[in-house]
Amino acid sequence: MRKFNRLTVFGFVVVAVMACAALFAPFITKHDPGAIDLQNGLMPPSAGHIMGTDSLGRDLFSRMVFGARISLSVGFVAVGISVVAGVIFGSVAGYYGGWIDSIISRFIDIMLCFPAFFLILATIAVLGPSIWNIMIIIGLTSWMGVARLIRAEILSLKEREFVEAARAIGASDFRIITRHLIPNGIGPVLVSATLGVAGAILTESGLSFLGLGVQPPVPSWGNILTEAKSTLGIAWWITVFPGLAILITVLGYNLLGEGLREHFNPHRKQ
Amino acid sequence: MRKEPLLEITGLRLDFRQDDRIVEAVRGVDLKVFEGEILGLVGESGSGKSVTALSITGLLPKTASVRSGKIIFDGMDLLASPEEDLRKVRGSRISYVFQDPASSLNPVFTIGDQLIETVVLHQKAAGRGRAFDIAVESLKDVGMPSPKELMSAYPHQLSGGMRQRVMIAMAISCSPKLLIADEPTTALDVTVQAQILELLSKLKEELSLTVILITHDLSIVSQVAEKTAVMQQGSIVEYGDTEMVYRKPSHPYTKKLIDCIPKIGGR
Amino acid sequence: MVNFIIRRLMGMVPVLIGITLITFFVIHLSPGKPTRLQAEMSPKISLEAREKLDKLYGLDKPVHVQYWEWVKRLSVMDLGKSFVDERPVSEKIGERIPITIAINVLSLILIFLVAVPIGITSAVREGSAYDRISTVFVFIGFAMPTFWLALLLMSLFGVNLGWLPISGIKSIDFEDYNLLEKLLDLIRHLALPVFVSAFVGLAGISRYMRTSMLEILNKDFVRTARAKGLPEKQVIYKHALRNALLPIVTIIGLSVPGLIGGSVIFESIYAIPGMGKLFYDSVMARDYPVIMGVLFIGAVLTLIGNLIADVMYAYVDPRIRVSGR
Repeated sequence: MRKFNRLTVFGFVVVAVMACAALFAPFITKHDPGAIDLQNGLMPPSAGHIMGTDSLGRDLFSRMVFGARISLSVGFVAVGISVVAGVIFGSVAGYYGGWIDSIISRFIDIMLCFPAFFLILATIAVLGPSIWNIMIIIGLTSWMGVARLIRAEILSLKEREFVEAARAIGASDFRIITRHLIPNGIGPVLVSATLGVAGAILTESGLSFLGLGVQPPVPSWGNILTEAKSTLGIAWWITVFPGLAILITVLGYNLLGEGLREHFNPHRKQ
Repeated sequence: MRKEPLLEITGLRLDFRQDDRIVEAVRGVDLKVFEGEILGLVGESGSGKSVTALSITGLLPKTASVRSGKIIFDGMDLLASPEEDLRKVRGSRISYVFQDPASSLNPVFTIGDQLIETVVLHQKAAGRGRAFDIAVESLKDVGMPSPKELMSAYPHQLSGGMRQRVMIAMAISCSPKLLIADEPTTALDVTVQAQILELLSKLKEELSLTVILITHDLSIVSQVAEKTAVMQQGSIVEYGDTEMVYRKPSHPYTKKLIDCIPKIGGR
Repeated sequence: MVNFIIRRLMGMVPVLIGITLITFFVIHLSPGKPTRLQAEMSPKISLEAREKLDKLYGLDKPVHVQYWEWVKRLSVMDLGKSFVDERPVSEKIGERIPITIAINVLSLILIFLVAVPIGITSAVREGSAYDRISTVFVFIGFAMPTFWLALLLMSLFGVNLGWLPISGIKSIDFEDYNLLEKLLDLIRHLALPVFVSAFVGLAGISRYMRTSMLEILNKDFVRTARAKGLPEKQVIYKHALRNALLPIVTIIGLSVPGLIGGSVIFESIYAIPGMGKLFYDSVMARDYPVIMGVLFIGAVLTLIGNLIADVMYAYVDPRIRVSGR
């Protein structure tokens, strides 16, 4: 048990550090992430450029820090959308039951049949890659898990007395759902959201890597790695740093999410 | 005339590790069980009765440990015996029947497989054919209808009462000397409870079985047990012939338990 | 058992319809007609040519008619023609599916052979150093961007060490090899893709196996097995394991969409001519018929995968296979 706590703290620290880096990006970087300097292309890490430069001579460190902004904001907005959509669908399905529940649950089943990446790529093919598009698309393809969670919570809470009581004093359905039922289901949703940010960051970086996410010159950890493909073996720093950043950030969110899960739902040990 | 007890527990102390705290579950238990009798071990949940029973053949969970004590069974010092020897005792000389037959049987194996497994394990001479027959005999002994067909059934196809009979059949299949039944009727309907208790009595007679019947229900004990021991918070507070314990309980806790028995048209 | 399968198949019908609806919906989300976007990619097409294209693909008709036309064609396995090279989409997909399926099956086998034992041992030795180290690997596995892993492996094994080829599925002189050499060549080419494909699944399944096993080890029937005097090995590997493995079948079925989706990345990086790469190429080229086709087929494969998993589970769990009283 204590082991988890230490790891959860580590996760939290990582998350906080990345968030700060993203927020205070202009203050912690010396160079302009977009400043092209062809003379100094592909320079290994040095005092002037602590993570080296890319093929256009841009400072990798500042691109990474600004990339954090992008990756994290995509993560947060996408998860925000998925949570909102998930909570709405899930609570309506759970509360009203009957044919509404059947339809929504079917819808969830159908959505889950599509390999997520395929669906996302197809939609991007149709709507074009832009930051907003990716945020919305990732959000709208990952709400199903949250929906199921909320639905399950509400199904189990629905029959409890406090719902009867609320109805007896004339509370509207909407009020019951939003004031009484949803707050009780917040725990698992928070866990899902934290893990969702991790997933969204992975998805966004994958998309950007393939050229279908954040478009250059806006830096994202994923699209910095696109360049890594052609500089494999020549410029290790372009491959290593962005990938490591993704790995550590996602790990941080995962650990934090798991820690939250333990917190809300402690393991029943013998 | 005093004979040697079949099972004698002296000064047993058991600890439980619970979230970094050590809890004393059993504090110095002394118990004697004589051959051919049914001993009722009564107590509330948490009194330590189940753990005491499990410790007899070393079936304690990893979080529990024996601090001190001696358990002598038929001349064998159980607490000092290595795991190898204990395994030979389990199922063949000392058997268990547990509380919830629904979860105590493995759902993915047939009744037959689970019965035969026990026989083959302890009676090396028996081939599968002979083991099959022994298993069927055990099922007959516990009063199961059409035992041969039952051998290929799965646990989920049986009712609670039938499953518990199967558990008992499994326990007696290798002719043990001691049967430890931990709350064998608690998970069953009241009508079925009576049947199982009757079965235990019958088996005691027919197979010269010695039984430790663990329960929280004093009325059950009064129906079938010759001797009764009452356990409270890790120690034995009352021990004697059942009649005596009932009529003249010496410990206030026993008195409380007796008072709790509903007396409507009762015993 | 047969009833079960029939019921499952009937339940699949509405889902199948839903899949067609969503596939159609997604592709027709664009503000303009698909041909307009296609035309924008090659601006030389005149208005007249575009109108001809529209007619050809039935895009001048109202949306619900288009949908119905498409579904009708689907039912005879006509997925249309690719915008890029006019070849039938079903043909293009057909030649790519075997490779993708082969890699996915190999990944599943790898996952099963490696993750399951790791999960079991972690559970049996709960809290030990082995358990803790494997948990660390599991978490890293969950956090790993697969494309980065693919790049790293490419760099390490392909470029630096030169042990494994980094693109395609056969070497240039493949045809000249004898059977054994051909097999070896295939293995060498597939090693990295299969590993990358399986990586996330390895983490997930070993974690799941650990949880499942731990749960089972706490069950009453395990205690009964011990009380019967069974040696610990039998208790664990016969009684507990059989039960812990049951849900794995379903989990493996549920990882099919993840595996198919993940194929886009490693197939592009390792230049494997599979469905994932086809999909990627068609997305880049805005080849809508192919996109629709692959999207649809991908979902259908998932559906089939789920069905197989459900049927296998029903077969393996006696509580379902043999109906109770």
